Amino acid sequence: MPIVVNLDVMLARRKMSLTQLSERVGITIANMSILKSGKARAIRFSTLEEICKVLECQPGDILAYMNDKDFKKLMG
Amino acid sequence: MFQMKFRIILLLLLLVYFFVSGLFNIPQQVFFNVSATANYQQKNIPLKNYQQAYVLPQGKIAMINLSKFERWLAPEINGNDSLQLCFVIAYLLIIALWLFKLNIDKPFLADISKAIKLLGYGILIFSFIVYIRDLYFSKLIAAHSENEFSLNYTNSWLYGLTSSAIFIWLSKAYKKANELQNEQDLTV
Repeated sequence: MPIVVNLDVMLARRKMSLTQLSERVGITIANMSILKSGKARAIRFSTLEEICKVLECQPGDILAYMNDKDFKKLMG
Repeated sequence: MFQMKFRIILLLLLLVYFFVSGLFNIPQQVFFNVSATANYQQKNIPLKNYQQAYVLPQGKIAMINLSKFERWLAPEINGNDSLQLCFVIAYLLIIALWLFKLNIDKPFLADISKAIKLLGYGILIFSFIVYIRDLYFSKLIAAHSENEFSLNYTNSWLYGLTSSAIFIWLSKAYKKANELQNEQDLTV
């Protein structure tokens, strides 16, 4: 799926760890890892809303579309 | 929980054992349910004649000098239809597999879907074999009784065909449920 999750970039910008984010958003660290690693198949609007609220950003700052060619190159 | 599962599995294994022991209980002579044909009426007098109806005999025919395989294959009139027992054993094994893998948090497993599909196709083949068997014994009885009696069909193949369609459909539904469950697991 050529949707890239830029959660690590936003976490670095906000100087926040994944554990802190998961605690503040209220979802498990395991699920947050699934999201960060790009293994997630879907994301709930409620989760996205919470993440945006905590990181003070827009959904577009976390999610980005990439064409198949670039996506394959990125994923190796 | 494990003890409960263990008891159920033990019970299933015992049932399988009883069925398997029934499988090898081959009788010396085999009885079949038969009805008189039109040919009987031409040669013999019906049991009872009425003004606008008549009664033809119906009962059991005892077949002797059948091969061991034929006796083993004979339909359910002997109380142990071997083919049906084979099917029941397969069915019990699938239930045992399902009980072993049953997890209330993740109930839809790919293995179970495959097992149900296998069972569905198994029943389909079973129905076909039963149909061929009935046809074979029908011809045999007709030949041995000078075409005066015909076998009363068991109709097992028809039930088998219906249940196989249900099982194949169920396996597809189960597979879809498994896919949705996996997707749900990866939804954050």
